[in-house]
Amino acid sequence: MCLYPLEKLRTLSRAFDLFEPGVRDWAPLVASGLVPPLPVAGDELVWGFPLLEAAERSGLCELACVELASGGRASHLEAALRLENRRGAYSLSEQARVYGFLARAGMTGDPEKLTVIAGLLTAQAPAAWLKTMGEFVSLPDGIGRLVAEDVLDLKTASRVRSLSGAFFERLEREKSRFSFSERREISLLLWEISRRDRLTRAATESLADELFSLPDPRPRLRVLRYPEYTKLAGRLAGLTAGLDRDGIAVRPPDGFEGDEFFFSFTAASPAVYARRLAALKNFEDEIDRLFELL
Amino acid sequence: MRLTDYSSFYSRFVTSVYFTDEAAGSPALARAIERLRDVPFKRVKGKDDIPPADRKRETLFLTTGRGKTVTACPGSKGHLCCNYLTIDLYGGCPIGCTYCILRSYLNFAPVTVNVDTGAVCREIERIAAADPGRPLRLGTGETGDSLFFDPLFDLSRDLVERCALFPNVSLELKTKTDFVDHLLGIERKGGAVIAFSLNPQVLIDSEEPFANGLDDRLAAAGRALAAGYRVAFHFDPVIRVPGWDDMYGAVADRLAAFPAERVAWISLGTVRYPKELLGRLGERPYLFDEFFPSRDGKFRYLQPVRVSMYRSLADRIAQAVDAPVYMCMESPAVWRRVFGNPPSKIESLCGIFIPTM
Repeated sequence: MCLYPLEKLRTLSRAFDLFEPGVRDWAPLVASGLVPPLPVAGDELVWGFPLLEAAERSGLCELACVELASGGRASHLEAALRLENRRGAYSLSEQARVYGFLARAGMTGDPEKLTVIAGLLTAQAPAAWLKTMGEFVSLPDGIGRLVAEDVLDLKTASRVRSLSGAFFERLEREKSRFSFSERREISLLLWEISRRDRLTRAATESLADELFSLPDPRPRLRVLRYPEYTKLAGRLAGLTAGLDRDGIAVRPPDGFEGDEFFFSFTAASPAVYARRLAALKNFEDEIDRLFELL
Repeated sequence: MRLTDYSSFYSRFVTSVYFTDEAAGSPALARAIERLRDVPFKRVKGKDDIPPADRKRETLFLTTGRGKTVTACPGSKGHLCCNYLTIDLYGGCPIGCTYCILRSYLNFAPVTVNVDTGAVCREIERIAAADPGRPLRLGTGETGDSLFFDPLFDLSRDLVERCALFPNVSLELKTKTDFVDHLLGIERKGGAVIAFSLNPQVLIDSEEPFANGLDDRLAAAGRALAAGYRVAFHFDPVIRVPGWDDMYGAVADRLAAFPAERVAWISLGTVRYPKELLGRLGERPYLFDEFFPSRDGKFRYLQPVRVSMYRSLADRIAQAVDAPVYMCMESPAVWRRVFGNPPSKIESLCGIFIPTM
């Protein structure tokens, strides 16, 4: 172990600067002098960039460092991850930086190294992690940012990536209007409609504009995405409107899947009960049409 | 297509073969070695010894069945099952149909081949002999195509011959190929049924990349029939594309060429998928239709849509050939709407829907 002047540490390569700076507050440890030694390999600082900055801010002139034996970049990355020690808590952006580091070093095809590195980063199996990272880094910048900021999940973003950049910008601007699952549903439904109807980019954007002008775009999106279901539900509502007015609810089986309708009503007096029964009796003329819906 | 040059045909689908110690002495392995001259064969202790680079669909893994080799079709919650018995002879399939449900069931990419037909035959004998008066339907087409690799291994021959000893057994070999010729010369065919999955040619072209065309399959059905087999047809999955009714109707019309008494059964099933499969299906136009979860959690067309499709296709089939028609994995409600009754009350389906185990 030896002492390195901060001036010298500042000049070292930042190739290992992979992690978010604000995750830990190093200032109290630096103030109390409890600073772990920083690993250095040649002209590279392997870990501790936020710590170095905290030391600079506190006015320290030098820091204890350990010069790593040449074990290769994979072992240095492993050391950095062990020191960072946040398995399962790395953001997608941090993981993408590690993935990029591995790719640049040609290590993504090395199962042994990959298993060690992925195991220090995440609970995902190495192959699954590689797939996740491949998907994430292949997203266009704007969409990748939405995923990194938890506006959309990676799976949805990958699926709907062909939607226009204008849509994603709009979604980001208006993200606080919708919950995470609402944003997901809006994105997926719009994408499915645009693919099904082979809408041009301009037509999709125009539809998105129309939808975003609504307080909640989802009911309109569902109508557009599921026209047959909507029609069926509309026919049911039309057929049973009279019963509804008479206080009798008619519910179809879930998703119109099955052969039983559920009729329900309440009655607060014998007179109301009689009225309900009379309404049901009158409905017999329509009953065949009702069951034809299934 | 009549296979003559095995090496040339299968070189597209098989790049390596691994076999276990138990499979080492089997005649099926010897046949495959003789017929796949340019493919490396390697001995392994188990599937875990297959290197990651070879854990792909172009690898064959030859082994002997462990555990039960004949099992009841698991059926589907809330749907009526035809009580079929499945034989896991070929697990996995290289045909690559876009709608294939195996993508969600099988986690092991290489095609697994159970070369121990002796154990399978003994299990069939045990089940068949236990209740000789009860019709049994069993088949190898549940976890893979029954005949795609069969010209290489000739495994179905043993099953056909052994099942022929039991008059109550109908062995079904289900395929999207026309690879029937190696089976035509078998003398004792018993109740063997060679079954063909059918789709309009336009959908075969777009959704079944390495399957034989419709004409090939129907011609193969004709050869099987001429050789003394019964045949069966499966319209499953029926996919609602624009003009689907005319397209499927035209396929149904062609069944008029087959004598009804030699058509063992015809099944219908609309396209369906479990939720977890959706991500693996890719972007196919038919998936942008309206699908809703059924009681078994699988996504299907709306019930009234399915009912209308089944009625239309069943009518068209009935005009072509008077053979038993049933629906695969449909709800009692749909059965009542399409056929007026559940299968247990339809006389022509008695031999098909009897509980087997």
